[in-house]
Amino acid sequence: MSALLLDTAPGPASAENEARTCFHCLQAIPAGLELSVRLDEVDRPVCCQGCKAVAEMIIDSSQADYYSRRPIAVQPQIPHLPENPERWLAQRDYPLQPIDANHFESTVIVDGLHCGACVWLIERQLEALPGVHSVQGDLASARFSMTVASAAHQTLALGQILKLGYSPYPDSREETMALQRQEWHTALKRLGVAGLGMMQVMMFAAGHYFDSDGSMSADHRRVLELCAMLVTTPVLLYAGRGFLDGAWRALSAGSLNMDVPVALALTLTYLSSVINVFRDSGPVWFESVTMFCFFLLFGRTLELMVRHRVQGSADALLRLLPDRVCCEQDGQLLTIARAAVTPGMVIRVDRGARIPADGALLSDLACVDESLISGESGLIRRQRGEAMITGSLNLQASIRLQVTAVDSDSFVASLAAALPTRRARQRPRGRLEQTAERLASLLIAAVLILSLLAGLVWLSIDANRAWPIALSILVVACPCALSLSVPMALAAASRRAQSLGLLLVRSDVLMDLDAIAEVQLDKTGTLTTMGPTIRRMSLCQPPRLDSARCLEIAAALESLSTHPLARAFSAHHTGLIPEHFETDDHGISGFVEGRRYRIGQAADSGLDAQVFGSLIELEDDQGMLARFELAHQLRDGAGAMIESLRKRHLEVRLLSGDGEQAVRAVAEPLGIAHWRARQTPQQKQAAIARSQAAGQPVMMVGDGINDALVLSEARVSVAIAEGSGLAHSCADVILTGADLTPIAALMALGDRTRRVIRQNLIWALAWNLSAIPAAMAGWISPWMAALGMSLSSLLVTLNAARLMR
Amino acid sequence: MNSLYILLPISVLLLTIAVVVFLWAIRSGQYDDLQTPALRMLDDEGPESPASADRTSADD
Repeated sequence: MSALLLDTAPGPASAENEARTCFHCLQAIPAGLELSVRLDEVDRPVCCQGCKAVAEMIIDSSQADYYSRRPIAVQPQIPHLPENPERWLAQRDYPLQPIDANHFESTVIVDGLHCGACVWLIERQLEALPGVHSVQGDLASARFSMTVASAAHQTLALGQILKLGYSPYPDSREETMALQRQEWHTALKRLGVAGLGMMQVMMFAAGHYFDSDGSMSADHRRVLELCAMLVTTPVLLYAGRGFLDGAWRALSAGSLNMDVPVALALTLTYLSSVINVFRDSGPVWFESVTMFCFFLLFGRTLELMVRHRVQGSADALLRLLPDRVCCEQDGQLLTIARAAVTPGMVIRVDRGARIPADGALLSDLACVDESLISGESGLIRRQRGEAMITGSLNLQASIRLQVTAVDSDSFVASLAAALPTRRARQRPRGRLEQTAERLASLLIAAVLILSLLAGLVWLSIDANRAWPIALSILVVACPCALSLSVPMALAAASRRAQSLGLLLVRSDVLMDLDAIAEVQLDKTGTLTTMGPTIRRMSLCQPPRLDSARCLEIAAALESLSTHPLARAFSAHHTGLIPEHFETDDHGISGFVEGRRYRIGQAADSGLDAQVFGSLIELEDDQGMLARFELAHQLRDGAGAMIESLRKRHLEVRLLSGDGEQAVRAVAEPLGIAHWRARQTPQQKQAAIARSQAAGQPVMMVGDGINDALVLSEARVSVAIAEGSGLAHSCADVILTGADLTPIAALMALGDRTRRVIRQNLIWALAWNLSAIPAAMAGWISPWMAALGMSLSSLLVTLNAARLMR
Repeated sequence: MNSLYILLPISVLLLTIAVVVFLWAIRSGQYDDLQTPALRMLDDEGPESPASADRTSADD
């Protein structure tokens, strides 16, 4: 081979060739092209106008250091220079997040980076631009985050990246992340302001509490009240803004929501306190306003935290996909960012890698593991021309495919897109909650009318007492306890659920639990663990090797395989490494300590076992050595969970995409009489819809993406954290551990929560209903009313807090 | 008791400072990640990434 090369390319010519590589991109220069750039008084040849332009720009901005910094071994690409950079940028939508008036944050994925020097170069170039405050690049993820002064400066910076020969692409994940961050900041700011304000107003209020004999001078009292008002005003207007806005939106839409009574109670208490401060008589309730605000915000912030954590796992699948993709362009292999892949491109996927985009297979045959998408556990064969799905694992030789759809258009994304419809659908509200809300808003209307009437009546009896009595009614009737009773209990139950290994995505799911009549379970990944285990091992008779040795050899061979069933052996791997191994469609063979062994699917395993994929044989030159029976193992707590569900007289059913035999093997030992095999997601969804239409609300427990549709159909859905991220995003409850027992705990927690809520509602109603007539009769002075209302709210809160234990 | 006229405004001032510091802490991202900082001290690797190490040597 080398002799051949010497014949055609003698010494001097090869030296010439070496000199004829492009100074910038190190690629060969086409014959007859004379282009060069001048650096350090020497003309350096370049291969094209693009390289020339980029090299000149780098040299002109005195950053020629780049060329000495970059490692010799790198294979940079020919720079990608679009003809019309403005149009190229305008075709893409780059998110820009405001920090303040002059600072905006932007993250882009930059394609074409090959070493630290590229990152250095881009950072230097961008930082030199006007209006760019800071730039931080990360080579590993190819992400650059920068702070710029305006959208125009962002475009300028992106244009500069293009001019340097790299391609900036928008980071789609960034947008949702930034949105979440903003939401979290707002919630936290409001909570902090309310908390600090509450503590301070309490201090001021304590002054009044010690004045039991009324000996405090009017001036001192007034100063305390003014200070309390000064602090309460921003707390109400800033921290309480969410409630005020929410109430306003509901009222202007002609409806009533939970925010309406809250906002009314807040504003009425605040306004009557302010009036009393300026009237210079009567009590003030600023501490109640701030405390109320803080407690409500506390509950909402907890809910937000949980929701964000869950949304974060929703794009877990996209994160599994490789950042870089190997694609073929004009007969060359290039590595580009995944964001740069467009339909029509031909890409290559290595053995063991995830398929980065939907596409049609160009190779003759491929073996993939689609378990994350379809829930089917075995390996799946695809022929030339068949569709490949984003996120599936390529198990054998590297394959070529033509991209048909990327990210947001892919099959997986379209499944995900089918989900939000359900989010938008109005959730059937819990009976209790609905009652509490309706009562609270009725109460508000009634109270307004009642206090007005009582004031008028008392005006004719005793004009001096009219105002304090009207106020007393307003205060005692404030449905604080009533409107706190449900959310406080739900927030406390969410906390408790977390320590039980459950994440409640929507906390009011606890209210729906008592309606559930039927539980549908998924098999693979839900009732059984994700990976298979060795159920039984049998040696040939008479045994030629002992079982430990057989297992060791099998594990060594299987360590080379990416087949899903190979995971069963990983626990037995001793570090033994086979040599000269070969893989074929049915197994893998290799030399272990000088002897040849083969492990693979048993020849007589039959059709069912093949679907199951459960019989594996180890053989040497003389024939079979050992036979392994593999099976998915039942998850811990599966039996206990089904037992406890049965005790609650719930019907337990099993729906699976797997083959009949595999499903029966799981269903029968667990005593599940109703099971169905080979169900598509659509069939599962239809089955649930049928049950629910027949008046049997369903709780669905599942994991994979194929379950996402099914989960969203069920009244209550539970997902397992080990499963794919997408399922979580539409589940109501997420199991954070690998154990199924928390499901039983969830049902018990639901019972306790509903009990506590019922107690709270009864107490709050009793208080309001008994106190209003008393106040109307003039038996309750405003300070008693305020104390009673605070105590009533406190009682409700403490009762709810019992749920945390 | 007349010290109230000085002490109360001071308490309001202190509160304002506390709120401003808290808002600044949120804005500067100190509350963005409540989990990893607790684990980071167990991490033997320094916070320097290769890219930033590159930059420091360039600044010399």
